[in-house]
Amino acid sequence: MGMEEDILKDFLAESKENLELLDQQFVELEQEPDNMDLIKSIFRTVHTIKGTAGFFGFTTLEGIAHFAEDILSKLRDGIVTINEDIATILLKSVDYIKAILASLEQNGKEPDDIEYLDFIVELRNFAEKIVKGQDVSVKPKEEKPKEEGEGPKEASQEDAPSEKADTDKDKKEEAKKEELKEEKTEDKKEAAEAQKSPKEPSKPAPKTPPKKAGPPPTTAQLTETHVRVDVHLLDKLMNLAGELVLSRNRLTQIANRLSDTELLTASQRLSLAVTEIQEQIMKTRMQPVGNVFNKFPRIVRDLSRSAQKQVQLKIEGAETELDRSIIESIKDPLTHMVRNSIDHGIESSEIRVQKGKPAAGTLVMRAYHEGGQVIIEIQDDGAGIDPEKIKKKAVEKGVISHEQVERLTNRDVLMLIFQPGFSTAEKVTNISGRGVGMDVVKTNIEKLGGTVELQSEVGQGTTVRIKIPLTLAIIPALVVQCSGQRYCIPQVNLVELVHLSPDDMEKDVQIIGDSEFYRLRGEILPLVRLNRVLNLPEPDAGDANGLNIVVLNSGDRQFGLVVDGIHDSEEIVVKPLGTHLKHIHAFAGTTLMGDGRVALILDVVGLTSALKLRGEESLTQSQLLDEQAKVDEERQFLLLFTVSPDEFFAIPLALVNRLDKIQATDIELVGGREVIQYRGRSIPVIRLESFLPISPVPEQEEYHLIIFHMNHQDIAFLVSQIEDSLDIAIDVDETTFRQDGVLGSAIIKDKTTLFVDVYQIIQMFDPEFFEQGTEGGVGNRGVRILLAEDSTFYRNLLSSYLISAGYDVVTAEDGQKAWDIIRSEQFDILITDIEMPNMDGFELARLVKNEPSLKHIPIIAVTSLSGDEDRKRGKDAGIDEYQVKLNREMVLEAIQHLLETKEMAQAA
Amino acid sequence: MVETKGETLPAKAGERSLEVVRDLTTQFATFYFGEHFFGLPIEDVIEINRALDITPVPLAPEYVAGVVNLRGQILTAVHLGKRIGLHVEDGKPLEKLNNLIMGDREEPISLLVEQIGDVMAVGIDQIEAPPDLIHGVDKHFVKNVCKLPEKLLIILNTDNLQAPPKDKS
Repeated sequence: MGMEEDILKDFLAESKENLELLDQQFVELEQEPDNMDLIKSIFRTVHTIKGTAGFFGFTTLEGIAHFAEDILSKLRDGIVTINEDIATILLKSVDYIKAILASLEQNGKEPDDIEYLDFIVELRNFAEKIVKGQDVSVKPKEEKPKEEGEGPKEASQEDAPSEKADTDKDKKEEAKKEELKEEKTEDKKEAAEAQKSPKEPSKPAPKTPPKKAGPPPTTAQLTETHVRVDVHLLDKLMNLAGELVLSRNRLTQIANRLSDTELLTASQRLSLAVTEIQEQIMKTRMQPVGNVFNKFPRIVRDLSRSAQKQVQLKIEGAETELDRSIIESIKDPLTHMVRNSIDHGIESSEIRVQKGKPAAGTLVMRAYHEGGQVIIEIQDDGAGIDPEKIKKKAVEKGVISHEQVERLTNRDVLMLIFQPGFSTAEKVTNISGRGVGMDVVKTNIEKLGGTVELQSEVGQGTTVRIKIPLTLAIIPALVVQCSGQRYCIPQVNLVELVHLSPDDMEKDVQIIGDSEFYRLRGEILPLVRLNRVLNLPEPDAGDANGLNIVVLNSGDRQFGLVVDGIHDSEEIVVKPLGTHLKHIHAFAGTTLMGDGRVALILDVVGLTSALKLRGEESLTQSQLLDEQAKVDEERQFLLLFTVSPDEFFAIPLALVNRLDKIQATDIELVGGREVIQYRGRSIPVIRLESFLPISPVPEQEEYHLIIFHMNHQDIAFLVSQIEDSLDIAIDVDETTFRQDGVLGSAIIKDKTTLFVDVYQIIQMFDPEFFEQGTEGGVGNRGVRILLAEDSTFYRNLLSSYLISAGYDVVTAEDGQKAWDIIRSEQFDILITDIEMPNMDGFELARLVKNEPSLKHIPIIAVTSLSGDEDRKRGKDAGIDEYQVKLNREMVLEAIQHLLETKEMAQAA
Repeated sequence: MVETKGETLPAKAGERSLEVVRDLTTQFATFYFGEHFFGLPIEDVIEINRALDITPVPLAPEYVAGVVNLRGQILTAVHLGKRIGLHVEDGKPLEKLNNLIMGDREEPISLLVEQIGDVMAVGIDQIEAPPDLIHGVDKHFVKNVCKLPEKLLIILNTDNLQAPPKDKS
């Protein structure tokens, strides 16, 4: 398996260096036997080798390292001090280890000579002796009863001289043994050599002086194929390569301008070389993702033990390469997600068996390339994530409101996991649920320019997919223009480019609250104006040339960035921002452009986080737009505002075209009327206190405007404060405050709130407002309309705008009443709601169309729902037109149209 | 120590007059902003450059004029006047200011000054603690002063000039 090979390579490279060091350290140690640091360092090295050998199952290597470690531990604990014998046997161990490593490097397996086993036996005996305290240099001061107990033979009367005798004896024995062995080793070694490396036969075995132990078994030289390079050096090289790329770009520009053939050829050749250099240097920074993955077998083992679950880890694509800096930064997020999988995802064995799954859960860590990015997946076959649980939790934690959560799709619900303050842990364990949530994971990945996605199937398992860029150093980017400066946008975040003509803008850009939205193929796309985010002046031309929208993906959400101009795509070298500028979230770094000037790189995630509040707001508002049509009739989105403090007013949000703020000084007085300049037009401003018996707007530096677009004109209400927008079931009391300009009142948020009749107010302000533009406004007089609508609020609203359009309106509270009225009076048109008590709109329509004396009356159904199914049912029942209640203009147009066709039919 | 790019530093003039006490002098790169005469220890100055193209950085602290490209290294350009709170009527426009590359060699800053002066050797005994008030200059950025016959040399504090805003991370 690729990963193991890589680990093995790393292990060999590392061990080789360590062993060189060991040789030196042993020599030093002989000179200063009390140097504890030295002993500890040697101990550590041998210990590492032992551990890794165990991991790979290299038993001989492990054995040698193990017994060497035994001896070293005695040295470390100060129970024995080093002497020549100990040093010799240890050095010999090092030699054997080297030989084994060389064999591993060449053949991928340990040498299987008996010689190695013999050495292990020798080493073990030696180690045992030392452990038992029989060896030479047992320190007098360490001689405690305990030790005497351990080595009873020579215990009691032992003092310095006798000990010396003892050691001498031991030494002799040892030497004898070694001599015997030496011969053996010699033979074996030669044999081993012969079979081991036929390719390099003539290399004589380096012989150590015969006085020292035996000739070491090492024959094959450990070949040097790796060089350790300081990371800073690589970074520097990387920077220089970047530099080179920029100079090249500049030169190419010049060459193109001069169009000198020789220069062009030269610059092309340079260009090729530079590209190559850049690629190669990038490669030096690339590391296999296995470097991170290989930490996980252990982590998974530990985690599954402590969670008492059985988990099998599969690693795929460990050889996939990623930039070093990214490798470092993904370890923690990956650990967190693996923890989550084991803790919450994979079930205990009993449950798994019950569910018919294998007892051991499978966790797959997979890495692969896809479209210039690296995808890392963490997949488990556990319980999956239950959206209902998430919903419950999210509402409990206050991450999202109950109403909001009900509207989310399952996919959106899963994304809630990444919200701050959310932790799915039902109980806090020591594995997860320690306050570091998935939101941190997401933030960290996004910092790398990556994204996180989640897929989950209840009962089947969960897959987390991380997409990250290959490298952070040189990236393709789109260059855009804003307020005369160029900015770079990383191409990974780019979705598409859209240009809107002023006409398109009028049609498809909507303003709600402080936010603009663009309807991109039916999707609501929040717009972010780059100049506003960056506090830069608006372009001189305003929006007269339309909008350039760069559609960007910031992880889970798309938004449109409005810029002044769009240039080319370029490969840019990312350079960090200075310390004075690091805190600005809108920027990810800087880069040099072909002309040598600096350009800033936009941080797409930062741009949205700088607008976090607005973003969240936009989410609900875009939902609001989407859901508008689906909301049941009695519910309504309202805009709440105050004219003077403590007097609350409401209007249906759907009537509002946009909201804005203006300075008091912006208001001009023209012909006795107040107007403001807005988008190059002057629009009249209405003060509600002029038409309603209420306190006036207090003097303010800044006012809020509620702008309506009706009858092809803009008109605005001047108010003190926009309080809120909310989705609420209306229970309008139309009696208490019944007067011109007011539809009724309701208690909203404990405050009495007046519902303003926008149409009537506008008509009071300008009686001709609705007649301009629409032909025959006055001609509508005499046209009688029957309006059947059960909701008082809508009844008032509809009749209000119908009356302002010049019609005579008679109202009925339900279908039955309307049926009674229509039979006794003459009407030119019937407008009916669909959902009504006693008799619904379909029934009413059917009755009317089946009554010969009435069937010529056109019927318009008004509804807040506009499903196709309803439309069909309506057609069957004889309804001529379908309109959405709040869309005044469309309703009026429909009436006009039907009246005209009726006239034509009658004329014919 | 001082690389000169685009501007030569007439270092000798100051040296000659004070040759006798050379061991006891410190050298300062001097420059002007408005009426004031400033100096930075010469070892803190990396090079001096005529006007470099400044790319403004929106949302940056007010004293940051933007970023400049110094042979591939991107440096933050700090407007000396705004940094030390010095208001200059009819100051030179941004593009006419000189870049004094200074501070930490790993991440130097470009200090924008109006006019470059000589390198000056000043006797150590002439260097004094700053007075409580120097008109129009934030004391935080003043390390010492040196009373010269005709004017006051304000020796700036390199570390404080270079340190980023404390409260922001």
